[in-house]
Amino acid sequence: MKHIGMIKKWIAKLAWLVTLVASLVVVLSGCESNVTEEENIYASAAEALSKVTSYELNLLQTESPAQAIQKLAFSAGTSSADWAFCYLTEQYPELLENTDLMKFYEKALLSKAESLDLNGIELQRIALCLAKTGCENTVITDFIDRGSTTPGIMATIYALRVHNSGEFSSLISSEQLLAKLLERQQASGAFGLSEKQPDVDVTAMALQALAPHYRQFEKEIRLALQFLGRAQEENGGFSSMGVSNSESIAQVLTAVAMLKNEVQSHGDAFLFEEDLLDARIMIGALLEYQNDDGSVCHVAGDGGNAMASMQAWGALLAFQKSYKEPPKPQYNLGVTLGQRIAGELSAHSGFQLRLMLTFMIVLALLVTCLYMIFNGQKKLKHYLVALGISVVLIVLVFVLRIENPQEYRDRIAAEEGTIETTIEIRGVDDVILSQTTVHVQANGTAFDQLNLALTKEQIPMNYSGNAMFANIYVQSINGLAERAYGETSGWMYSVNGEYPQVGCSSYSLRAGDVVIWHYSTGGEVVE
Amino acid sequence: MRRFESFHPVMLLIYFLVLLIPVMVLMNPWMIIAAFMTGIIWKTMRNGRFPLGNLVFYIGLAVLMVVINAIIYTGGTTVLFYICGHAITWEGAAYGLKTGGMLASAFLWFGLMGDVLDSDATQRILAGMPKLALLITMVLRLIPHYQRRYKEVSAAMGMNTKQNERVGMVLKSSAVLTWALENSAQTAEAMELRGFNNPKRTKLREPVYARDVIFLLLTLATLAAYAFAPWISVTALGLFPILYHGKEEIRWATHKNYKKAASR
Repeated sequence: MKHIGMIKKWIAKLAWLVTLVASLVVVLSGCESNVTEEENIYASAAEALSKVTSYELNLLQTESPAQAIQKLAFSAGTSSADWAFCYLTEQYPELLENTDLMKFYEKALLSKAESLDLNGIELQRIALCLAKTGCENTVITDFIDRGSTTPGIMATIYALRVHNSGEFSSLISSEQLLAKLLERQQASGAFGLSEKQPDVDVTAMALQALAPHYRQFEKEIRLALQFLGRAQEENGGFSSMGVSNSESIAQVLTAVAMLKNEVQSHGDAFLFEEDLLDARIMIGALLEYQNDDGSVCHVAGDGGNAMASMQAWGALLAFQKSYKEPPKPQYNLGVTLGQRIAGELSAHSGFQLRLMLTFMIVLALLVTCLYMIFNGQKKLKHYLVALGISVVLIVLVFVLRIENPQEYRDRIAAEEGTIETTIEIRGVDDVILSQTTVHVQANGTAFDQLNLALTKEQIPMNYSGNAMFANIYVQSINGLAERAYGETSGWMYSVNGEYPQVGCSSYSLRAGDVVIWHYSTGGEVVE
Repeated sequence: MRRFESFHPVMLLIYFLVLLIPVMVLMNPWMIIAAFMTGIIWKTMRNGRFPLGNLVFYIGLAVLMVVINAIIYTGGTTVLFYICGHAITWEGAAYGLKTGGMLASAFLWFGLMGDVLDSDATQRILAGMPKLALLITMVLRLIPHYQRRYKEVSAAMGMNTKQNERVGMVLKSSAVLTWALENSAQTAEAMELRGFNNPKRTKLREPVYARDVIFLLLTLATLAAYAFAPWISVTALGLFPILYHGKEEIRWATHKNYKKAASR
């Protein structure tokens, strides 16, 4: 009988706990959904790459890459051996420093090149390998010249790639080759083996050859990318000759990754619209072709295919080289829950939001007072202090301008003027807002313009300071905050290519000004 | 009835560190919830009443963190509303909630740690370094000691004055300060008289029993479980004193001698 009383007491105590914990669990319920699709892509691409590599090494019945190259030397000069050599040295760059090994492969290549009757494409491929082994320039130049006599677009593409890998003074210069290649570009932007036949693979390979010259041929590259974007299938894959296959995806992926790598290594922001051909989606499509043993098939459901595996290997390597996993978002707490709450809140006007906040403050006051009464607090002073704080907070809530997102957008949009200016916003490796025309008011500042453009596009932005005191500092755009990529990273703006030495809220714009906001990583290389 | 404190103090220290450090460093919400829940339950069991005061303080702390973080944090993308043109985002608020929860759990468990590992336990943990142990316990004792003294002084001074007259803080502090100076001299003398610094002293060696070893092994086993299920291991660790307390409670209630005494 005694215990029952004790149990009752305990149940009463536990009831408190259950309410508390239940509310905590409800609030934090979305917290576990931390892993996003994007992060998975980088991990699965790395895994696929290691699988393909081990598959290729398995074919050579070895585990060390150096030994693999020794074995490859016996079949040097063939397409599969040469590409495997290229990719192996790319994946394990330390092999290039092993001069004995390189000379060994080089000797094998040269002896094969003498004994066999080679066509232009093969000659260029051998030249590409020779450029890697550290062969003398004259020998390579000789190969380029011999190969260039062959007509056909593929020989041109390969010759260009050899040229891209070093400085060679061959009879046919890189400019001539580029002109020759671009002659073959069709009106749709595509390249093809013949004039009338646009082909995804050939276009992608042409892009690979064009990648280092992206500044010179921006328009042409864009055209070709647009063609590829149109040719892309719904799942991100591509088809050649009417068949969806892995090689086409691999080639396009390589082209996009190489372009990106070139643009990044020159320190430019990515100039080409990424959403057109998102490498991450293509990786997903490519991985569907991979078998469990690491080999890649030509058509979905087939067995492993040597050529498909090789090209997928190259594509995965190129992807890994240019796409670094972004730093994990610091705060990824229950985003779905947050979006739901934000959706709920946006249905209420600013006045209703104020009432809600007031209600919350009054609730907190009531809880505090109840607690004090419960604890036997008799001094009136304590109650008055609690009341005073609440009154101050409520006054603040009604004095400060509280708006829901829609009201805020409307208010900013009403500030539109007549002076025509242009704005562009570049993130770390993507374009947040491509070139857009913004009409600001007379005496409108760079900050006004930014605010106007962002509210129109519904891109979130945050800043410190006040427009009245002209001391605004932009902290984050689209969730990309200062110091996310090292201490010195942050947002900068340039007007007509020059960096003004004043804050963005003090710089008055004139008609025709082109403002570019870009996220500077402070000169540090982002790993 | 054995209490949780009866374990070897070093094992207890290891136990608290194994629980507290991951909760504070990893900031996993589920770990925070698990630590908070078990902490509240244990505190209820220890004190025999629900710690409402602590709870109100913790909730207030979490609310404060949410408000401050929502205002300060600028990196979020899910805009809830705008205050004077500044976006208040969900990410900021949610991170504030997480930090507040972490702080609350840490406060709660550090409080429990202070209850369990009192000055006596500190001396026993630092048995190898008696002087350091003495110093630490004396320093830790100072502030509560002075607080107590201050209350005594104000009570005494209040008796000598009229109803509406108030004694100033300066006067009270001065009295406490004088007393503190005198007290330190007295303490030093008392220590010397009782043989401080006398090399011929023996010291008690803390015995390690089998249950201490089992306790340590259990703690370390849950530490290993952090690798794959952090919140489960936090729950297990937090439940340990509760189960121990409950076990002893039941053993006491069902003990035949106790029953006999109760029926008499």
